[in-house]
Amino acid sequence: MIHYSDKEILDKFKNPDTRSYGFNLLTRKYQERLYWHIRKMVIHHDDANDVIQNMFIKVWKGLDNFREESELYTWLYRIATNESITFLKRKKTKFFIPITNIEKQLFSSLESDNLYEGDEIQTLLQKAILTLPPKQRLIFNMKFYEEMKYEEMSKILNTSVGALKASYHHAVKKIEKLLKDN
Amino acid sequence: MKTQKKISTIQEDIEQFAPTLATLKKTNPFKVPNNYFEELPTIVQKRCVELDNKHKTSVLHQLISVLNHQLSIPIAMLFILFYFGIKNIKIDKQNHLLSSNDISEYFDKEMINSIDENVLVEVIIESYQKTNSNKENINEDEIDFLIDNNIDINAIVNEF
Repeated sequence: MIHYSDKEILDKFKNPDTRSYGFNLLTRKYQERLYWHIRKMVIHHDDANDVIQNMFIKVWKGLDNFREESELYTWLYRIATNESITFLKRKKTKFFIPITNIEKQLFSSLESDNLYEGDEIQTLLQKAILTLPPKQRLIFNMKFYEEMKYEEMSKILNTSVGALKASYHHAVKKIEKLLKDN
Repeated sequence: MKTQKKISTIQEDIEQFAPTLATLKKTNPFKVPNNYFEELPTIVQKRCVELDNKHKTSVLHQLISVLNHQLSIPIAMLFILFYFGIKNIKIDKQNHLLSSNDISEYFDKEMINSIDENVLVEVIIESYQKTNSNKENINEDEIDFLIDNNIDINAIVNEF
């Protein structure tokens, strides 16, 4: 498969004759990274599938207005993050459940999910991650699993590097304590 | 080399603060249905195209597209003319709707100075004769006029 640069993809998208093709290239280039980022937040595949589709529709509507002041991936990541957080908030208000209990619901259904194949230790780790508040969980996933630089995370989450480091540090300590206790 | 250095730095951080976590593999315990990522772009594209078509056929969009075309300026001008036309008609009506008080005020202010006093005296005498009544029925304004102009009402009454 030929890999196109972000600029080439944007140029194809802005051309009415190649708009759909450009968008297809963008989806194929970034879908996996964005999907896993979303999946780690919402846990279940069906929910992640809904969120990522809604996210790409927003991209389709908004890409003409993308000002290229940030990297394309940063912009996409930001939309995916916001859509994930919005989804979790909506789930809370839909069922009148406090946000902390949403996480309890998520990990109680984790082991029964047929698209989850973690062993006992992995399940313990996922449950520990789910005890974190949503934003802290986001920061932990981005740093631990995706190994993002703090500067990159700062642009996506619009949070200072110092705050991100502090948040990650707290998240790691909490998870460490839970793993040790179990 | 740079990536390896970056990963080792992160690992060192975790080993320092969370040795238990540091021993765990960063494997992904989640999986997706078969061919999910092959099909996702097509599904997304289809939804985007449907959205665009839906948007184009909506009545509102049609109205907006008509307004955006060349008819927009003539339609806007017609609207402006209609609006100000209605407004002016209302103003004209208001101008014609004068109350009797307005009329009497106008005559009081504008006409009194041009009235010949002889004409006024004749009118007073006529009205006096019609009513066949005494002096008390004469209007105060009329009396004032007569006094100001040194006209003796009794003299006029006796004469006629």
